[in-house]
Parts: sequence; structure tokens; C-alpha cells
Amino acid sequence: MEQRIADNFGAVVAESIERLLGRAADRRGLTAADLSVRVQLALGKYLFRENAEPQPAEVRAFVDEIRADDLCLVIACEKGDEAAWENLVASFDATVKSAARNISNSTEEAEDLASSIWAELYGLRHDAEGNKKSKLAYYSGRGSLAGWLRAVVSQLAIDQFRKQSKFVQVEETREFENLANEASENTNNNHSHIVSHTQSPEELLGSKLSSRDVSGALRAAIENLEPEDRMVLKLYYFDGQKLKDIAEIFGFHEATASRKLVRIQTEIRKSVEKHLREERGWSENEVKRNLSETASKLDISVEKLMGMLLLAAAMQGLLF
Amino acid sequence: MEPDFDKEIDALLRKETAGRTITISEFGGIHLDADEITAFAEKKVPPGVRDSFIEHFAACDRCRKVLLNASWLNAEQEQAEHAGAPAPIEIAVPWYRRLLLFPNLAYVMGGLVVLFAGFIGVSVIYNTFGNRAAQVSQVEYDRVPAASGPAAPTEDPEYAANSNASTATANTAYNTAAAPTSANRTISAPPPAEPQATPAPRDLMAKQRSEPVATAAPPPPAKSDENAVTTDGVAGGRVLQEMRRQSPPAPQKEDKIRVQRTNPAATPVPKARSVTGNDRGDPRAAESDLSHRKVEALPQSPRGASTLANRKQVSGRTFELRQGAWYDTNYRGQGTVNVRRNTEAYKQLDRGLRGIAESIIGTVVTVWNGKAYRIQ
Repeated sequence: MEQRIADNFGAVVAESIERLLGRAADRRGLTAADLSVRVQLALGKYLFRENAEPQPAEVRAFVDEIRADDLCLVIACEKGDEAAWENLVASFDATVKSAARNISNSTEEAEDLASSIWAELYGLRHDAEGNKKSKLAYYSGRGSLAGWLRAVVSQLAIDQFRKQSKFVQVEETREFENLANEASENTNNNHSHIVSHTQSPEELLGSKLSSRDVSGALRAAIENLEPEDRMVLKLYYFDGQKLKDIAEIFGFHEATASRKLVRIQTEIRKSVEKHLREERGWSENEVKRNLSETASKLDISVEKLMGMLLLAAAMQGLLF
Repeated sequence: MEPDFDKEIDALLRKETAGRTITISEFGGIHLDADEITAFAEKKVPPGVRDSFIEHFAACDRCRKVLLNASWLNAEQEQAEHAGAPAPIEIAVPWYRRLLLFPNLAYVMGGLVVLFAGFIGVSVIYNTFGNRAAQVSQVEYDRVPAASGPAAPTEDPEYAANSNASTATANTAYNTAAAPTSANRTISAPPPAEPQATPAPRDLMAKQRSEPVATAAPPPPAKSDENAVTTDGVAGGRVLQEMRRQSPPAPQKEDKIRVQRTNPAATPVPKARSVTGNDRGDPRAAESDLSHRKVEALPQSPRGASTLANRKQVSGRTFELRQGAWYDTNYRGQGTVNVRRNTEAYKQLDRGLRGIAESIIGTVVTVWNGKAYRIQ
């Protein structure tokens, strides 16, 4: 890919790199050759991926948007410039520590996390050829250096948590089914005398199977959504994000996020109903009834159960 | 905001996610690195690549979590920076700009109006009183008798008589004696220490009488005396020589008036030096006056504007109309050579002299190459 970039856009890239150096407040003794490799990697990562054919104007605009000062600082650090390292630590140590504190449960964890980050950045590990493996090599200058450092802190924290976490589900594809089954089992085993004391075993089995079908239909409907809709749905339901935060990530208004979610739910309903009718052979009435029952059953929570128990007790006291 | 959600689907979805913790995604592809996640969070991903990033985020819990954390940390940092930002510095408004702010502007404009009105009023008052003072001083000058100084009485019959008498002998005195005659000096220059060379007193008084202030009619010029001067220049020339030795060139008539005004403390001119025919015609008196006087070069009087009609500039020389003749200011009353135009004698004159004579209509008295000529 680098060869392709050099062959087709060599002059444009060279001119853009010169402009990039001109924009930098402190070149730190770097030349166009020092930046050329990194810029070409960035072009390959963003513009030339998946065999895209960008125009020279797009290449020029892409390089012009690279943060010159941050990139020069990072490359100077990679080259072993001590003054650049001191500048990096002095300028961004507070950023790293702040991110670590926000994402960690304790101060000790935050300090360990920050130390790990600096070690990763400095490159304590070496590759097969003995070269330092530094995370700085992955910074392209496209985003801000401070934002990149926060993302690195977040990444490292999540990876560490994944290793330590007890509640880990291995397969994402089974999560819907497992959760739906757990909800059904809890409903039947623990709250059957309140939730559905009139149901016979046959009815209970039917409910369980219906819930399974509904869950399957739900899973299929979610997988058939557009990537953006799926991401919105997962951010809202799985990650617990507010509509305002979701809108911030995508760059649109909160009302737009709300309308998107409503549309997604409508699509899911249509997809689930269609799936139940076509795949399971349910009638229209059966679909509506089962959806309503599944939703009402699954919607019962412990708090509601306790409330109903108290009400029942009060009613008994009044009557008797 | 209360979105209009599908309650059943919403309940189904919420229940499905209840109790869920972080998961390890089975996403088979390569995870996005921190640089790509940062670029997406800061909306720096090119449009064509953004969709692929979204597709990955939709499928990969881990990267989505990193994205959420990075976004949240960025938001926290932004809030911290805004909270710690110093208060905006109030731009100091300079004093001259503050003057233009309402209501200061109204006060400034009002002040300017008052200032200009006052300036205009002072100018009007100054001009009014200035004219009156000029007129008053002129009146006083006219009424001052020859024997008195600046404080001359307003009416002095002796002065009138003296002035009348002076007309008869004005020309003679002027042609024989120097411009600074005794009579003139008594009228105009109070102190003996300030002698002046002045023109004929009759001319001087005539000029004064021609001012707007009511004065006696100027006496007619005595032209016949001029002829007499030309034929009697020897005695006059002796006196003139003596006077020249003792006095500098005569100043203007207006200067004489100024001398009187600027020297209010000057002693009044004694009556013996008043304008009389005897005094006027006595060269020895004039000589003695001159010996005690000092001629000063004085600036033009305020009346200079009114004498412009009686002055001419020809060939670099200044001529004054006196007694119906144009006198060169360089002329000191010496004897003249009388020449009539269009005569043989006239044609023999120098071209420059003839040019002067042809530039001026009437009798011209001028000095050319040290010799005085009267060209008629």
C-alpha cells in the first residue's frame, strides 16, 4: 500500500508534508523524510483501506488535518529526543493520571495504570529485531494526542478488567438466548406462586418455548439492522448510554437519536413479527398475544414483586 | 425527553440486557486501535471509513467500551478545563471611547456646543470692540491738539486753526524740509526722544480726516507749491541734508499713529510744537525736533487697509498719492527735476524711469539714480 501511495500520490504527499512541517510550531529537528513514513501509514489506515481510490484533493486535505505539533512531538520521542520526552511527560502526565483516576476504582489502581501507560509509551518491550515496541508508533496525528492517551488508558484498563472479571460471557451470539432463558427460569422457579399461579405445567412450558422463540426473533432482528442502528441500539440497551451521549458520539442532536431509536424499535417489531409468522408459523393473534405475554412476564422485577406481596398482605388484613 | 417508545419491544430489549456485564466479543476481525478510536471520537475519520468503524463498533463490545470511556474522559476533561478557565478579562475601555458611550456622549456634545458658542461669542465681541477701539483711537487722534499727547481733548479750536494754517504751507514744508516736520511730529509723536520722518502734516491730517470718523474735509492739494519747490530746491536741499544727517528714513503715517498709541506715557507735545505755520515753516525748529527724536520703524497701523487705494507698487517701488501726485517713498523732499511727458527731455530719460512714469497716471515724483524727478 505504501508503494501504491508513493507511486500515485508521491508529489502530493511530499508537498503536504512540507506544509505540515510549516504548520508545526516546533519541528524538533525533524525533516520531511522523518514524517513521510508515518504520514503514509496514516493514509493507508484511513484513506486507502479496503482498496479505496481517493482523489489527490482528499489526500491533501487529509494530511492538512493532521496535528503537526503532536505528531512531531511523538516522532521526536520515538527517535530518542530527550527534550521531546521531557516535554511529553510534562505536558501529558496530568492527562494520563486524570484518565486513570476516572477509570479506576482506587488511587493505587490509578497509579499502577498510569505507570503502565508510560511504560507502554516508552517501549519497554522489544520486537524480534530488538527494536523498542512503543505504543507511540500507533499515533498518526489524526486525533489529538491527549485524546489518544485517554483512549490508550481506557483500552489498557478494559483489557486488565477483562482478565480479572468473573462475570464473563464467552460468546456474544448466545447472550440474548442465555439471558432470556435465565429470565424465564427465574420467573418460573422463584415467583411462580405470584406471577402465574394459575398456569398449568403445560402452559408454563408453552410460555418458555414462546419466550425462546421471541428471543430468537429478537436476536435475528437486531442482527439485520443497519450497523449504525445496531450500534445505537447496543449503546442504549446494552451499554446503558443516554440518548444525549449517543447523539454526542455520532455527532447529531439528542432528538435525532430519540427518533432513531423509535424507528429501530419499529423495525425490530416488524422483523420479530415477521420472523414468528414465517419461521414459527404463528398467526397474527398468536404473535401479538405472545409478545405481550413475554413482555409482561419478563418485565416483572423484584421491587414490583415485593410491592404486590405487601398489597396482598394488606388486603388480607383488611378482609380478615 | 420522553420518547414515544414501543413499550413491548422496549421491555423485551431491556430485560434481555438486564444483569449483563462486560463481555469478550467473538468478533473475529482486528480490533480498532486507540488512534482509530480517538479519531472516531473526535470525528476526524474520513466519511468513507466511518461506516466501517461503525460496523465494527456495532459488533465489538470491547472497542465500543473503549470508545465510550474515551468519549467520557474527553467530556470530563473538557468540563474540568471549563471549570478551571479564568474569568474573561474585561477589556478596559479607553477614556476617549468612554466619552462616546451614552450618556457621556450627550454630555460631550453639549460641552462642545457650549465651547463653540462661547468661542463665537468671544470672536464677535472682540471684533466689535476692536473696531470701536480703532474708531475711538482715531477720533482721539483727530481731536488731540498739536501741543498735547495721547490725552488730547476731543475738541480743540487751536488744533483746527493750526491744521488749517498748516495746509497752506504743507507742500512747502514738505518739499523743503524732510518728511518729519516739526508740526507733524507734534501731532503724532509725543516724546521728543522719538523723532519721526513724516510726510506733510496737512497730508497726514487729510488722511486721518478721510477715515470713517467725522473729521474736517481734507485740504486741497497745493500744486502750485510743488512748482515752487522745484525752483527753490537749494535752501530746502541744505535743510534736507542736515535732516538726513540727523535722522533715519521716515516711517509711514500709520506708524506715527501707532507710536502715539504705544507710548501712552509719552510726554505731551508742548504747545510750542503745535501745528502752526511758523513752526511748520521753520526748518530750524524741525531740525531741533529731529535732533531729539528717534525714528522707529513701526508696523502698519490698522488704517493701512484704507490707504491701499492711495498706494501703488511699480517696479519694486512704492508710490503714495499725496496732493494729487504720486510720491515715491524713497523721496525725501529733495529738489526735483521737472519733466513733462512726451517731450524731448522725457525721451532722454532712462527707460526704467520712463516705464515708471508710464505705469502711473498723473504726476509722479520719484528718485532715479540718486536724482529726484517730477514727471508730469
